[in-house]
Amino acid sequence: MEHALRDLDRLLRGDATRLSALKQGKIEVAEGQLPWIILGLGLIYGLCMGCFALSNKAFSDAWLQTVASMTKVPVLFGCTLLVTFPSLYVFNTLVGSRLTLQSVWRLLLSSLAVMMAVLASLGPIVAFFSISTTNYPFILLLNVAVFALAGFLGLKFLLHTLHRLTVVLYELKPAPPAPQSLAPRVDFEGQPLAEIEKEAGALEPVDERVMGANVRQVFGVWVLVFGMVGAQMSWVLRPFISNPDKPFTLISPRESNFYAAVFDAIGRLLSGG
Amino acid sequence: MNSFALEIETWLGGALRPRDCEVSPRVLCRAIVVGGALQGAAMGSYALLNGGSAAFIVFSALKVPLFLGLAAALMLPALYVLYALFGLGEQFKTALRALMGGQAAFALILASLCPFTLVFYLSGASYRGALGFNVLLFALAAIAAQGVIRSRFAALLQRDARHARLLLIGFGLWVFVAIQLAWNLRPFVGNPEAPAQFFRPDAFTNAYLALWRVFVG
Repeated sequence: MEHALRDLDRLLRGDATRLSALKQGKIEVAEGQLPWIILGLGLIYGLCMGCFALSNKAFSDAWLQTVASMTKVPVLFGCTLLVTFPSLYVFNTLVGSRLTLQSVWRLLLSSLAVMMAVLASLGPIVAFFSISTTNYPFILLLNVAVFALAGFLGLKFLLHTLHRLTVVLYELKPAPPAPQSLAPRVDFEGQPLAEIEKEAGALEPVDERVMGANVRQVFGVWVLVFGMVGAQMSWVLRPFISNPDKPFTLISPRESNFYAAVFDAIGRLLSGG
Repeated sequence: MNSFALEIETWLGGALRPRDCEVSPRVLCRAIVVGGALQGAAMGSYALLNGGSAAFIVFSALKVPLFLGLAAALMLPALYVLYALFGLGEQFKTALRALMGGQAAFALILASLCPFTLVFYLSGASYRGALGFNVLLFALAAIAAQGVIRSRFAALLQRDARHARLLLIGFGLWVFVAIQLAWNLRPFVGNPEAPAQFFRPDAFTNAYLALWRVFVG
Protein backbone atom coordinates (compact mmCIF):
# COMPACT_ATOMS: atom_id res chain seq x y z
CA MET A 1 0.00 0.00 0.00
CA GLU A 2 2.79 2.37 0.98
CA HIS A 3 4.48 1.53 -2.32
CA ALA A 4 1.30 2.40 -4.24
CA LEU A 5 0.94 5.71 -2.40
CA ARG A 6 4.53 6.52 -3.26
CA ASP A 7 3.76 5.70 -6.90
CA LEU A 8 0.78 8.06 -6.80
CA ASP A 9 2.95 10.82 -5.35
CA ARG A 10 5.55 10.22 -8.07
CA LEU A 11 2.81 10.46 -10.71
CA LEU A 12 1.46 13.70 -9.27
CA ARG A 13 4.88 15.28 -8.96
CA GLY A 14 5.78 14.19 -12.49
CA ASP A 15 8.77 12.11 -11.29
CA ALA A 16 7.31 8.94 -12.84
CA THR A 17 6.69 10.60 -16.20
CA ARG A 18 10.00 12.43 -16.73
CA LEU A 19 11.73 11.42 -19.95
CA SER A 20 14.51 9.79 -17.95
CA ALA A 21 11.95 7.67 -16.05
CA LEU A 22 10.20 6.46 -19.21
CA LYS A 23 13.28 4.67 -20.57
CA GLN A 24 11.43 1.40 -21.24
CA GLY A 25 8.60 3.16 -23.08
CA LYS A 26 6.17 2.69 -20.20
CA ILE A 27 5.38 4.29 -16.85
CA GLU A 28 7.16 2.48 -14.04
CA VAL A 29 4.33 2.07 -11.52
CA ALA A 30 3.01 -0.98 -9.71
CA GLU A 31 0.03 -1.70 -11.93
CA GLY A 32 -1.27 -4.34 -9.53
CA GLN A 33 -1.63 -1.81 -6.71
CA LEU A 34 -2.70 1.30 -8.59
CA PRO A 35 -6.33 0.08 -9.00
CA TRP A 36 -6.57 -0.21 -5.20
CA ILE A 37 -5.45 3.39 -4.81
CA ILE A 38 -8.03 4.44 -7.41
CA LEU A 39 -10.67 2.47 -5.53
CA GLY A 40 -9.69 4.01 -2.19
CA LEU A 41 -9.71 7.57 -3.51
CA GLY A 42 -13.07 6.89 -5.20
CA LEU A 43 -14.52 5.66 -1.92
CA ILE A 44 -13.29 8.80 -0.15
CA TYR A 45 -14.85 11.10 -2.74
CA GLY A 46 -18.07 9.03 -2.72
CA LEU A 47 -18.24 9.51 1.04
CA CYS A 48 -17.84 13.27 0.59
CA MET A 49 -20.69 13.23 -1.96
CA GLY A 50 -22.79 11.17 0.43
CA CYS A 51 -22.51 13.90 3.06
CA PHE A 52 -25.33 15.74 1.28
CA ALA A 53 -27.67 12.79 1.83
CA LEU A 54 -26.43 12.32 5.41
CA SER A 55 -27.33 15.91 6.29
CA ASN A 56 -30.54 16.22 4.26
CA LYS A 57 -32.32 12.85 4.29
CA ALA A 58 -33.76 10.39 6.78
CA PHE A 59 -31.07 8.10 8.20
CA SER A 60 -32.35 4.92 6.49
CA ASP A 61 -32.18 6.52 3.03
CA ALA A 62 -29.08 8.58 3.82
CA TRP A 63 -26.72 5.73 4.54
CA LEU A 64 -28.02 3.74 1.57
CA GLN A 65 -27.29 6.74 -0.67
CA THR A 66 -23.84 7.19 0.90
CA VAL A 67 -22.92 3.55 0.29
CA ALA A 68 -24.31 3.85 -3.25
CA SER A 69 -22.25 7.01 -3.96
CA MET A 70 -19.11 5.38 -2.53
CA THR A 71 -19.64 2.39 -4.82
CA LYS A 72 -20.64 4.34 -7.90
CA VAL A 73 -17.63 6.68 -8.11
CA PRO A 74 -15.05 3.87 -8.65
CA VAL A 75 -17.55 2.02 -10.87
CA LEU A 76 -18.00 5.15 -13.02
CA PHE A 77 -14.27 5.51 -13.61
CA GLY A 78 -13.74 1.76 -14.01
CA CYS A 79 -16.47 1.52 -16.66
CA THR A 80 -15.18 4.60 -18.50
CA LEU A 81 -11.71 3.03 -18.49
CA LEU A 82 -13.01 -0.25 -19.91
CA VAL A 83 -15.06 1.50 -22.62
CA THR A 84 -12.25 3.78 -23.78
CA PHE A 85 -9.17 1.57 -23.37
CA PRO A 86 -9.58 -0.47 -26.60
CA SER A 87 -10.10 2.63 -28.74
CA LEU A 88 -7.08 4.41 -27.26
CA TYR A 89 -4.89 1.42 -28.05
CA VAL A 90 -6.26 1.08 -31.58
CA PHE A 91 -5.99 4.81 -32.38
CA ASN A 92 -2.54 4.81 -30.90
CA THR A 93 -1.46 1.99 -33.20
CA LEU A 94 -3.17 3.54 -36.23
CA VAL A 95 -1.24 6.80 -35.88
CA GLY A 96 2.02 4.87 -35.88
CA SER A 97 2.92 4.96 -32.19
CA ARG A 98 4.95 2.03 -30.88
CA LEU A 99 3.32 1.95 -27.43
CA THR A 100 2.56 -1.58 -26.26
CA LEU A 101 -0.78 -2.73 -24.84
CA GLN A 102 0.74 -2.74 -21.36
CA SER A 103 2.09 0.80 -21.80
CA VAL A 104 -1.33 2.10 -22.84
CA TRP A 105 -2.99 0.27 -19.93
CA ARG A 106 -0.52 1.77 -17.43
CA LEU A 107 -0.95 5.18 -18.99
CA LEU A 108 -4.74 5.03 -18.60
CA LEU A 109 -4.49 3.69 -15.04
CA SER A 110 -2.06 6.47 -14.15
CA SER A 111 -4.35 9.12 -15.65
CA LEU A 112 -7.27 7.73 -13.67
CA ALA A 113 -5.16 7.81 -10.52
CA VAL A 114 -4.37 11.49 -11.16
CA MET A 115 -8.08 12.22 -11.77
CA MET A 116 -9.09 10.44 -8.58
CA ALA A 117 -6.38 12.21 -6.58
CA VAL A 118 -7.66 15.60 -7.76
CA LEU A 119 -11.24 14.52 -6.97
CA ALA A 120 -10.36 13.25 -3.51
CA SER A 121 -8.30 16.36 -2.76
CA LEU A 122 -11.37 18.49 -3.45
CA GLY A 123 -13.52 16.07 -1.40
CA PRO A 124 -13.27 18.03 1.88
CA ILE A 125 -14.54 21.16 0.13
CA VAL A 126 -17.44 19.19 -1.42
CA ALA A 127 -18.24 17.61 1.96
CA PHE A 128 -18.19 21.03 3.61
CA PHE A 129 -20.63 22.48 1.06
CA SER A 130 -22.78 19.32 1.27
CA ILE A 131 -23.15 19.75 5.01
CA SER A 132 -23.58 23.51 4.98
CA THR A 133 -26.20 23.96 2.26
CA THR A 134 -29.56 22.40 1.47
CA ASN A 135 -29.83 23.41 -2.18
CA TYR A 136 -29.84 20.30 -4.42
CA PRO A 137 -29.08 21.98 -7.80
CA PHE A 138 -26.12 23.85 -6.23
CA ILE A 139 -24.53 20.65 -4.91
CA LEU A 140 -25.24 18.89 -8.20
CA LEU A 141 -23.48 21.62 -10.20
CA LEU A 142 -20.62 21.87 -7.69
CA ASN A 143 -19.98 18.14 -8.17
CA VAL A 144 -20.20 18.47 -11.95
CA ALA A 145 -17.63 21.29 -11.77
CA VAL A 146 -15.32 19.23 -9.53
CA PHE A 147 -15.59 16.17 -11.83
CA ALA A 148 -14.95 18.39 -14.86
CA LEU A 149 -11.83 19.88 -13.25
CA ALA A 150 -10.53 16.43 -12.25
CA GLY A 151 -11.27 15.11 -15.74
CA PHE A 152 -9.55 18.07 -17.38
CA LEU A 153 -6.38 17.69 -15.30
CA GLY A 154 -6.37 13.89 -15.65
CA LEU A 155 -6.71 14.06 -19.42
CA LYS A 156 -4.09 16.78 -19.66
CA PHE A 157 -1.78 14.43 -17.77
CA LEU A 158 -2.67 11.64 -20.20
CA LEU A 159 -1.93 13.74 -23.28
CA HIS A 160 1.38 15.06 -21.98
CA THR A 161 2.50 11.63 -20.84
CA LEU A 162 1.50 10.13 -24.17
CA HIS A 163 3.59 12.82 -25.80
CA ARG A 164 6.58 12.06 -23.57
CA LEU A 165 6.27 8.35 -24.27
CA THR A 166 6.31 9.15 -27.99
CA VAL A 167 9.47 11.22 -27.51
CA VAL A 168 11.13 8.35 -25.62
CA LEU A 169 10.12 5.76 -28.20
CA TYR A 170 11.40 8.01 -30.98
CA GLU A 171 14.72 8.25 -29.17
CA LEU A 172 14.80 4.44 -28.79
CA LYS A 173 14.74 3.93 -32.58
CA PRO A 174 17.92 2.35 -34.06
CA ALA A 175 20.78 4.83 -34.15
CA PRO A 176 21.41 6.71 -37.41
CA PRO A 177 24.56 5.86 -39.39
CA ALA A 178 26.50 8.90 -38.16
CA PRO A 179 28.10 8.50 -34.70
CA GLN A 180 26.03 9.99 -31.86
CA SER A 181 28.90 12.08 -30.59
CA LEU A 182 29.27 13.89 -33.92
CA ALA A 183 25.64 14.22 -34.93
CA PRO A 184 23.39 15.89 -32.35
CA ARG A 185 20.06 14.14 -31.66
CA VAL A 186 17.37 15.87 -33.67
CA ASP A 187 13.60 15.60 -34.14
CA PHE A 188 11.58 15.25 -37.38
CA GLU A 189 12.33 18.84 -38.29
CA GLY A 190 16.01 18.71 -37.56
CA GLN A 191 15.77 20.58 -34.26
CA PRO A 192 18.06 19.38 -31.44
CA LEU A 193 16.45 17.19 -28.77
CA ALA A 194 19.09 17.65 -26.10
CA GLU A 195 17.21 20.30 -24.12
CA ILE A 196 13.84 18.53 -24.06
CA GLU A 197 13.87 17.46 -20.42
CA LYS A 198 13.63 20.27 -17.89
CA GLU A 199 12.19 20.17 -14.41
CA ALA A 200 8.72 20.00 -15.93
CA GLY A 201 5.61 19.10 -13.93
CA ALA A 202 3.29 16.24 -14.88
CA LEU A 203 1.00 18.65 -16.74
CA GLU A 204 3.64 20.48 -18.70
CA PRO A 205 4.47 19.75 -22.31
CA VAL A 206 7.94 18.75 -23.41
CA ASP A 207 9.04 19.51 -26.96
CA GLU A 208 5.86 20.03 -29.04
CA ARG A 209 7.57 19.28 -32.37
CA VAL A 210 8.11 15.56 -31.87
CA MET A 211 4.43 14.62 -32.07
CA GLY A 212 2.91 15.42 -35.45
CA ALA A 213 -0.13 17.68 -35.78
CA ASN A 214 -2.36 14.83 -37.04
CA VAL A 215 -1.37 12.65 -34.08
CA ARG A 216 -2.22 15.47 -31.69
CA GLN A 217 -5.58 15.91 -33.40
CA VAL A 218 -6.40 12.21 -33.14
CA PHE A 219 -5.60 12.17 -29.44
CA GLY A 220 -7.45 15.45 -28.95
CA VAL A 221 -10.58 13.84 -30.40
CA TRP A 222 -10.04 10.74 -28.29
CA VAL A 223 -9.82 12.87 -25.14
CA LEU A 224 -13.10 14.55 -26.09
CA VAL A 225 -14.70 11.13 -26.55
CA PHE A 226 -13.36 10.04 -23.15
CA GLY A 227 -14.95 13.09 -21.52
CA MET A 228 -18.27 12.50 -23.23
CA VAL A 229 -18.32 8.80 -22.34
CA GLY A 230 -17.53 9.70 -18.73
CA ALA A 231 -20.33 12.26 -18.62
CA GLN A 232 -22.87 9.90 -20.15
CA MET A 233 -21.71 7.04 -17.90
CA SER A 234 -22.33 9.26 -14.89
CA TRP A 235 -25.83 9.90 -16.26
CA VAL A 236 -26.49 6.17 -16.64
CA LEU A 237 -25.31 5.45 -13.09
CA ARG A 238 -27.15 8.41 -11.49
CA PRO A 239 -28.15 9.44 -8.87
CA PHE A 240 -24.77 10.08 -7.24
CA ILE A 241 -26.37 12.70 -5.03
CA SER A 242 -29.88 11.99 -3.94
CA ASN A 243 -32.60 14.62 -4.26
CA PRO A 244 -33.78 15.28 -0.66
CA ASP A 245 -37.41 15.32 -1.83
CA LYS A 246 -37.28 11.88 -3.46
CA PRO A 247 -36.85 8.42 -1.92
CA PHE A 248 -33.62 6.47 -2.41
CA THR A 249 -33.17 4.78 -5.79
CA LEU A 250 -30.06 2.86 -6.74
CA ILE A 251 -30.29 3.63 -10.49
CA SER A 252 -32.73 6.13 -11.97
CA PRO A 253 -34.79 5.13 -15.03
CA ARG A 254 -33.35 5.94 -18.47
CA GLU A 255 -34.48 9.39 -19.66
CA SER A 256 -33.07 12.64 -21.10
CA ASN A 257 -29.25 13.05 -21.06
CA PHE A 258 -26.40 14.48 -18.99
CA TYR A 259 -26.20 17.86 -20.75
CA ALA A 260 -29.96 18.53 -20.61
CA ALA A 261 -29.88 17.72 -16.89
CA VAL A 262 -27.00 20.15 -16.27
CA PHE A 263 -28.83 22.97 -18.08
CA ASP A 264 -31.98 22.10 -16.14
CA ALA A 265 -30.05 22.29 -12.83
CA ILE A 266 -28.58 25.70 -13.80
CA GLY A 267 -32.09 26.94 -14.61
CA ARG A 268 -33.47 25.69 -11.29
CA LEU A 269 -30.56 27.18 -9.37
CA LEU A 270 -30.98 30.61 -10.94
CA SER A 271 -34.71 30.56 -10.34
CA GLY A 272 -34.17 29.97 -6.63
CA GLY A 273 -33.77 26.20 -6.38
CA MET B 1 7.12 39.86 32.11
CA ASN B 2 10.31 39.97 30.03
CA SER B 3 9.78 36.47 28.69
CA PHE B 4 6.16 37.33 27.85
CA ALA B 5 7.29 40.43 25.94
CA LEU B 6 9.92 38.32 24.18
CA GLU B 7 7.26 35.76 23.19
CA ILE B 8 5.02 38.50 21.79
CA GLU B 9 7.98 39.95 19.89
CA THR B 10 8.71 36.49 18.43
CA TRP B 11 5.14 36.14 17.18
CA LEU B 12 4.92 39.63 15.78
CA GLY B 13 8.36 39.55 14.24
CA GLY B 14 7.87 36.06 12.82
CA ALA B 15 4.55 36.82 11.25
CA LEU B 16 5.13 40.37 10.08
CA ARG B 17 8.75 40.37 8.95
CA PRO B 18 8.39 38.85 5.52
CA ARG B 19 11.98 37.78 5.01
CA ASP B 20 12.15 35.89 8.29
CA CYS B 21 11.36 32.38 7.07
CA GLU B 22 12.87 30.58 10.05
CA VAL B 23 9.79 31.02 12.25
CA SER B 24 8.30 27.68 13.23
CA PRO B 25 4.78 26.80 12.02
CA ARG B 26 3.75 26.48 15.68
CA VAL B 27 4.56 30.14 16.32
CA LEU B 28 2.66 31.12 13.18
CA CYS B 29 -0.36 29.03 14.32
CA ARG B 30 -0.30 30.71 17.71
CA ALA B 31 -0.19 34.12 16.03
CA ILE B 32 -3.23 33.17 13.91
CA VAL B 33 -5.21 31.94 16.94
CA VAL B 34 -4.35 34.86 19.21
CA GLY B 35 -4.68 37.55 16.54
CA GLY B 36 -7.98 36.13 15.27
CA ALA B 37 -9.36 35.72 18.80
CA LEU B 38 -8.54 39.32 19.73
CA GLN B 39 -10.26 40.75 16.66
CA GLY B 40 -13.16 38.29 17.14
CA ALA B 41 -13.65 39.42 20.75
CA ALA B 42 -13.63 43.06 19.66
CA MET B 43 -16.19 42.36 16.92
CA GLY B 44 -18.45 40.44 19.28
CA SER B 45 -18.35 43.16 21.93
CA TYR B 46 -20.90 45.25 20.04
CA ALA B 47 -23.75 43.41 21.79
CA LEU B 48 -22.34 43.98 25.30
CA LEU B 49 -21.63 47.66 24.63
CA ASN B 50 -25.24 48.11 23.52
CA GLY B 51 -27.02 46.28 26.34
CA GLY B 52 -26.86 42.76 24.86
CA SER B 53 -25.18 39.51 25.87
CA ALA B 54 -21.46 39.21 26.64
CA ALA B 55 -21.52 35.67 25.24
CA PHE B 56 -21.01 37.09 21.73
CA ILE B 57 -17.49 38.12 22.75
CA VAL B 58 -16.57 34.52 23.51
CA PHE B 59 -18.40 33.18 20.44
CA SER B 60 -16.71 35.58 18.03
CA ALA B 61 -13.30 35.10 19.71
CA LEU B 62 -13.70 31.39 18.89
CA LYS B 63 -15.19 31.92 15.46
CA VAL B 64 -12.46 34.03 13.82
CA PRO B 65 -9.59 31.56 14.47
CA LEU B 66 -12.00 28.72 13.61
CA PHE B 67 -12.80 30.46 10.32
CA LEU B 68 -9.13 30.96 9.44
CA GLY B 69 -8.18 27.42 10.48
CA LEU B 70 -11.09 25.61 8.81
CA ALA B 71 -10.73 27.51 5.52
CA ALA B 72 -7.03 26.58 5.43
CA ALA B 73 -7.66 22.94 6.39
CA LEU B 74 -10.30 22.48 3.67
CA MET B 75 -7.90 23.85 1.07
CA LEU B 76 -4.83 21.87 2.10
CA PRO B 77 -5.39 18.57 0.17
CA ALA B 78 -6.32 20.40 -3.05
CA LEU B 79 -3.30 22.70 -2.71
CA TYR B 80 -0.95 19.76 -2.23
CA VAL B 81 -2.25 17.96 -5.32
CA LEU B 82 -2.14 21.14 -7.42
CA TYR B 83 1.43 21.94 -6.35
CA ALA B 84 2.48 18.39 -7.17
CA LEU B 85 0.73 18.43 -10.56
CA PHE B 86 2.28 21.76 -11.52
CA GLY B 87 5.72 20.32 -10.81
CA LEU B 88 6.26 22.28 -7.60
CA GLY B 89 5.79 19.44 -5.11
CA GLU B 90 9.34 19.90 -3.78
CA GLN B 91 8.59 23.51 -2.87
CA PHE B 92 5.18 22.84 -1.30
CA LYS B 93 6.47 23.02 2.27
CA THR B 94 8.11 26.40 1.68
CA ALA B 95 5.01 27.73 -0.07
CA LEU B 96 2.78 26.46 2.75
CA ARG B 97 4.93 28.20 5.33
CA ALA B 98 4.75 31.41 3.28
CA LEU B 99 0.95 31.11 3.14
CA MET B 100 0.79 30.44 6.89
CA GLY B 101 2.94 33.51 7.40
CA GLY B 102 0.45 35.49 5.33
CA GLN B 103 -2.46 34.18 7.43
CA ALA B 104 -0.60 35.02 10.63
CA ALA B 105 0.14 38.52 9.34
CA PHE B 106 -3.54 38.91 8.41
CA ALA B 107 -4.65 37.87 11.91
CA LEU B 108 -2.12 40.13 13.65
CA ILE B 109 -2.98 43.11 11.47
CA LEU B 110 -6.64 42.53 12.34
CA ALA B 111 -5.75 42.36 16.03
CA SER B 112 -3.79 45.60 15.78
CA LEU B 113 -6.90 47.26 14.35
CA CYS B 114 -9.29 46.02 17.05
CA PRO B 115 -8.88 49.16 19.24
CA PHE B 116 -10.36 51.10 16.30
CA THR B 117 -13.32 48.72 16.34
CA LEU B 118 -13.93 49.41 20.02
CA VAL B 119 -13.64 53.18 19.56
CA PHE B 120 -16.06 53.00 16.62
CA TYR B 121 -18.54 50.92 18.69
CA LEU B 122 -18.28 53.37 21.61
CA SER B 123 -18.98 56.27 19.26
CA GLY B 124 -22.61 55.18 18.95
CA ALA B 125 -22.38 53.15 15.73
CA SER B 126 -25.53 51.44 14.43
CA TYR B 127 -25.48 47.64 13.91
CA ARG B 128 -25.28 48.09 10.13
CA GLY B 129 -22.51 50.64 10.62
CA ALA B 130 -20.62 48.16 12.81
CA LEU B 131 -20.96 45.49 10.11
CA GLY B 132 -19.69 47.87 7.44
CA PHE B 133 -16.79 49.04 9.59
CA ASN B 134 -15.65 45.46 10.21
CA VAL B 135 -15.88 44.63 6.50
CA LEU B 136 -13.67 47.67 5.87
CA LEU B 137 -11.12 46.55 8.48
CA PHE B 138 -11.05 43.01 7.06
CA ALA B 139 -10.47 44.42 3.55
CA LEU B 140 -7.70 46.68 4.85
CA ALA B 141 -6.02 43.80 6.70
CA ALA B 142 -6.33 41.57 3.62
CA ILE B 143 -4.65 44.20 1.43
CA ALA B 144 -1.86 44.72 3.96
CA ALA B 145 -1.38 40.95 4.32
CA GLN B 146 -1.09 40.62 0.52
CA GLY B 147 2.15 42.60 0.76
CA VAL B 148 3.51 40.16 3.34
CA ILE B 149 2.47 37.14 1.26
CA ARG B 150 4.07 38.63 -1.86
CA SER B 151 7.31 39.31 0.01
CA ARG B 152 7.32 35.82 1.49
CA PHE B 153 6.77 34.38 -1.98
CA ALA B 154 9.36 36.65 -3.62
CA ALA B 155 12.14 34.06 -3.52
CA LEU B 156 9.82 31.32 -4.77
CA LEU B 157 8.48 33.52 -7.56
CA GLN B 158 12.00 34.38 -8.58
CA ARG B 159 12.84 30.70 -8.78
CA ASP B 160 9.69 29.67 -10.67
CA ALA B 161 6.92 31.78 -12.20
CA ARG B 162 4.43 28.91 -11.83
CA HIS B 163 4.03 29.94 -8.17
CA ALA B 164 2.16 33.06 -9.33
CA ARG B 165 -0.44 30.97 -11.18
CA LEU B 166 -0.88 28.63 -8.21
CA LEU B 167 -1.15 31.55 -5.82
CA LEU B 168 -3.98 32.93 -7.95
CA ILE B 169 -5.78 29.54 -8.18
CA GLY B 170 -5.34 29.03 -4.43
CA PHE B 171 -6.70 32.48 -3.68
CA GLY B 172 -9.75 31.87 -5.90
CA LEU B 173 -10.46 28.55 -4.17
CA TRP B 174 -9.96 30.14 -0.74
CA VAL B 175 -12.43 32.93 -1.53
CA PHE B 176 -14.98 30.35 -2.75
CA VAL B 177 -14.73 28.37 0.51
CA ALA B 178 -14.30 31.39 2.80
CA ILE B 179 -17.52 33.11 1.67
CA GLN B 180 -19.60 30.03 2.50
CA LEU B 181 -17.74 29.40 5.77
CA ALA B 182 -18.18 33.01 6.92
CA TRP B 183 -21.88 32.71 6.08
CA ASN B 184 -22.18 29.53 8.16
CA LEU B 185 -20.32 30.99 11.13
CA ARG B 186 -22.12 34.34 11.18
CA PRO B 187 -22.84 36.51 13.17
CA PHE B 188 -19.36 37.77 13.99
CA VAL B 189 -20.68 41.11 15.20
CA GLY B 190 -22.89 40.55 18.24
CA ASN B 191 -26.42 41.83 17.66
CA PRO B 192 -27.80 43.22 20.98
CA GLU B 193 -31.37 42.39 19.93
CA ALA B 194 -30.67 38.76 19.03
CA PRO B 195 -30.43 35.89 21.52
CA ALA B 196 -26.87 34.72 22.22
CA GLN B 197 -26.39 31.76 19.86
CA PHE B 198 -23.22 30.37 18.33
CA PHE B 199 -24.95 29.73 14.97
CA ARG B 200 -27.95 31.49 13.50
CA PRO B 201 -31.01 29.27 12.99
CA ASP B 202 -30.51 29.50 9.20
CA ALA B 203 -26.72 29.04 9.43
CA PHE B 204 -26.58 26.01 7.16
CA THR B 205 -27.94 27.57 3.99
CA ASN B 206 -26.13 28.64 0.85
CA ALA B 207 -24.24 31.94 0.85
CA TYR B 208 -24.14 32.21 -2.93
CA LEU B 209 -27.89 31.77 -3.31
CA ALA B 210 -28.45 34.37 -0.59
CA LEU B 211 -26.17 36.79 -2.46
CA TRP B 212 -27.96 35.97 -5.71
CA ARG B 213 -31.31 36.79 -4.10
CA VAL B 214 -29.95 40.07 -2.70
CA PHE B 215 -28.50 41.27 -6.02
CA VAL B 216 -30.85 39.69 -8.57
CA GLY B 217 -34.00 39.08 -6.55
